[in-house]
Amino acid sequence: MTLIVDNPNPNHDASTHVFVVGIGAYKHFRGGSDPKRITDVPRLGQLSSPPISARAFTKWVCEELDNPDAPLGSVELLLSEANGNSTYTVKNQQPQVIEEANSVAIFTAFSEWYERCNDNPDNVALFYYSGHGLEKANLILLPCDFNEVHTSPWRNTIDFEMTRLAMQQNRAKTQCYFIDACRETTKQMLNEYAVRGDPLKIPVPGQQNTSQLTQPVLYATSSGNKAFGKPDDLTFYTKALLEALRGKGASQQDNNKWCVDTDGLLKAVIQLVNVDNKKRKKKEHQDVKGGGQVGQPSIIHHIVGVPPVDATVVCNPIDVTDIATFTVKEPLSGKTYQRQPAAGAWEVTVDAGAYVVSATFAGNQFSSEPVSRFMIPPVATTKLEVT
Amino acid sequence: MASIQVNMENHGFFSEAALVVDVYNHLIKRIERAAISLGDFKTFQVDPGCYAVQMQMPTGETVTEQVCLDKESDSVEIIFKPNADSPHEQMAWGLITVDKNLYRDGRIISKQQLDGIWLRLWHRAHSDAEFNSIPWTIQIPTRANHFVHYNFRLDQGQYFLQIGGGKMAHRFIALPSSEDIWVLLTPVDQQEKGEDPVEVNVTTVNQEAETLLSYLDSGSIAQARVVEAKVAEKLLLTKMLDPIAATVGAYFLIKAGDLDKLHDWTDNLANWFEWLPDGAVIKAWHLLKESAGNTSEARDWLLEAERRGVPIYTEGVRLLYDGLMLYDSSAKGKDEEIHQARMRFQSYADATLWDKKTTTFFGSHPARPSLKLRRGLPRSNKNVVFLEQVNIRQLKWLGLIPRKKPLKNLSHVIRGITGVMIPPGEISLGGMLSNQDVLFETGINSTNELDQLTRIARGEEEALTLHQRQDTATHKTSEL
Repeated sequence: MTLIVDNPNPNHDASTHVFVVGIGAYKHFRGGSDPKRITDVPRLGQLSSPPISARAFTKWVCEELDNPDAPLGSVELLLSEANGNSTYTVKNQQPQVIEEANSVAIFTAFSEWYERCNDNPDNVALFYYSGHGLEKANLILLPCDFNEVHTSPWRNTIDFEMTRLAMQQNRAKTQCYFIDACRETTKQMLNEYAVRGDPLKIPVPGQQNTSQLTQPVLYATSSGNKAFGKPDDLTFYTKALLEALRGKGASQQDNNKWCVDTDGLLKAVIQLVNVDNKKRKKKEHQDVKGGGQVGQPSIIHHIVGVPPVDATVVCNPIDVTDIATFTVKEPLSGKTYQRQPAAGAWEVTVDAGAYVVSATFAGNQFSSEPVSRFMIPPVATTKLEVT
Repeated sequence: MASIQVNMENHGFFSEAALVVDVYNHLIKRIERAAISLGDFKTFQVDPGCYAVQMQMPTGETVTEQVCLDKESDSVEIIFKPNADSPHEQMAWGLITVDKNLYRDGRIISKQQLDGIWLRLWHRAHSDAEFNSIPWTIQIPTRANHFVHYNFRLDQGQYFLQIGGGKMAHRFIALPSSEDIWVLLTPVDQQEKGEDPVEVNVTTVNQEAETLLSYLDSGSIAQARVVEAKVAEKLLLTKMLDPIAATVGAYFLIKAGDLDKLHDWTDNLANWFEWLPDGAVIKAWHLLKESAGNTSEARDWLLEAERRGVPIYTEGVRLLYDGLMLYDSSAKGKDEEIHQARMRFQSYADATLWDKKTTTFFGSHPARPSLKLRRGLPRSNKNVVFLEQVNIRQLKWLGLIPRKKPLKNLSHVIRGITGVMIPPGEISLGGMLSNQDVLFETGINSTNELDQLTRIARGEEEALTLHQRQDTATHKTSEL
């Protein structure tokens, strides 16, 4: 295990405990470090996005997560990267060697994380996984040593659904699962294997702590489908997840503070990925799905200041959008955003607030009435009528 | 105080779906949230100022309107039209619970996308009975812009709609037994290689429950809670009349951990409706989730659920499978009853399409789910109907025209003509003829008869025996 953050907590106060796994280098897949055991079943390869995404999520947790009701207690990180010998440097600390995300390390680290989460019912448990996933009845997460035993490839793979059920025995009332993985069923899985993973902990009937449990799962994609990312960059899902955590998933509470809660986070990630989908080919669309036990909304992060909103401004008719000069102005503060004529819709990130949106045209060849527009996270689209 | 009246216009056949509306002030703080039924309105009392009113669709989309009220006496009206874009009132529910863009312009649908897709109904009266295909419910479905909408009235029991085609692997879709079941078949936009040509969506007439399910499915959890709060009592009160709606409500309450609201009516749902596997699943999980849960009784209800059959809703399949796995893995396979039940149910779990709301699984028989995907026509033509165009081979396969030898190659006779008779008694149906097309002796003597056969093949008219058809054809010919 690699416990990169382990804040002292002598009074067992409520804390946030985080478990992060990012796997890009798979030993026994094509291009892996153990070519003798490479098999084409299933046909999977090396990945570059998951470790990058896991690192970005870890960085956000270590440097930005702010939950006064459950401050950061611990972060467990496991990585499998192409260059091996991973290290991670928590801000203002020495670099730490990160353990490889093989099955033994994952099972061991999970059991430690489980105990930390179980310490206080007001703890918040965050589970993040990015890497290969396959699904047949249950989602199976693949450690970096998948297919270590050639004759029994599914040994020590992770049955996520049963793991989540086992986590219902944990006292932590707020648990979030971020699963950045494909959920495909490969042809080989259909025909050749009794496909079963193992739960990271065996669930026991009657021990579920469920009546007050909020245990949402945010799957990167819907059942049977793929999740995507650009090579050597964040996955599309984690990009949206981080944006949502940084405020696009926030709502204003009764005390006027902006917070990200479990309800808003799911909805924001879905909306942000849907907006992103429109920029990609249909076969690269992914459909973020929620699952698990929804419970009551639970705050997991407080925002400093006002959250951002992805604003899009277009004209109707659409073909005059390119020649419009757009202005988005907040009358109260005078804060102004502007775009000179340019191709396509104007996409701009603004602070949440009440704005006036307007378009002007060179030589007054067209006219458009300014409109009042509330920019509500995560996204806001304004269509200006032009005559 | 000033007031904002929000009207939820209804352009469909149903009026019970409740959609969630949020009101934000200029500080982007939500000050109101309410569920408003279609055809209804709600008035929000507010201080003078500017407000954004956001309608949250169950499909996940939002529609926002803004208003400003200058003084205390001001009132404004906002009208939302969530299902106004439907090409037909009957199909309007698709915009609410399936996809708001379902009927938008610019969808790319190939003309052949629905060709060759066939349907069949299966039924068993109770869990100890065998599944049998049953005669299609003769009806003229609503058709608009390639969308096809069927209505079914299904008595108590377990029902499946089987669907397949050349590019659609054979599958079964659970139909809730209810007085009014609607099935909407929608061609997928820009169909890609390997993608199903159509999507099938099933709904009951109880749109309140369906809306709840859709909010949950789209990740709009907060909105689902608001709808649940509005409709839960009604779902409870109507459980005797509408166990399907009560089932949906119960799934939500279990997912939300809101066990207090379940009271003892999970007992009723489990005991009164033996044909409904979902009731037993719900009872099992209610017991499991109670703080002093009776795990022995929960175990028995899981076994009972598995005995009754596959649940109607995918959420039920998930809970049943999870429950069986929970007991089986905890007992390390030594609880023989549980282990056997889990093994039997495994084939359903493996073959299930988990992203559908109503249970959908691959296979060629409702009792034999399978991941060996089969496409094309089924082995038997019994009770099969076609969704759209039928061609001569399909009519022959259905037994609606005699299985006689082909007459001759058409290439020297005619090309590029649809539905032509050459000479009387020989006919080609549907599609363009090519050099390879072979003309069969059909015994069809008029375009009227051809139309009638097409209607029969599509389940729009009772099938006549061949003898009757020949009599009719002769009669029609003489009239001509």
